[in-house]
Amino acid sequence: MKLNKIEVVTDFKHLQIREITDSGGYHRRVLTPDATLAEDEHQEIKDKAEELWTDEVKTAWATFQAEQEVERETE
Amino acid sequence: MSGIINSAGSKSGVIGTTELDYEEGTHTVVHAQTDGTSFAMNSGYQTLSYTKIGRVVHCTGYLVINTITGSPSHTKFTLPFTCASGNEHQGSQNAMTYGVDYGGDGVSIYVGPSQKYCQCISSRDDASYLHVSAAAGDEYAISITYYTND
Repeated sequence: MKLNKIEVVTDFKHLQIREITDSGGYHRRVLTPDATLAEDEHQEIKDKAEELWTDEVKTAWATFQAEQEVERETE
Repeated sequence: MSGIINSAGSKSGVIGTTELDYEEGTHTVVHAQTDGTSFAMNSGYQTLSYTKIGRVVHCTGYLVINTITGSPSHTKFTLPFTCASGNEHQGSQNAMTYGVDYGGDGVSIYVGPSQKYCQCISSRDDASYLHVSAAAGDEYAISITYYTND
């Protein structure tokens, strides 16, 4: 698939990716700071992740995830 | 209100006085487990179709879990867009299931704020909900609407 757009969303720097399929349609996926990027990932995405997913962002995302889990468990 | 959404590609248009982005596409679902487990989808049943109008995303699709690694305590599927932050943007809808073992009164698909996944939960009358554990062969017909960021 051909990379079409990278959007950076939320305080946790999610990479919201739009690609174009072989048939011309849009395909979407989201990468979060806890993701391990595939070796064959688009270089532009790797660069963006390297730039934005600082240790601070990764920690904030992990903390948020943990808080969400606790909140749901106690509801 | 009524208006025109352009006819091709990534569409945008004007409805009444509001300019809205319009987009259709697909998302290949993978597991989004956070308990150290994982599962693989049946390749013939792992695609969601989405329509995004403005900030509202609607997804539909039929998902089948093929194989499991570990002993999952929940079931989480990825989504095409991250849900916006804030409790007012969450979404949940009931799902039709086949072969799913749950302990409550049916299965709902829930997406929480700032999450890129939806999770399967089983509500109970006058009690806390239960997480639905993923198992090989579980089938879900999914339809969910939620808000994204842009």
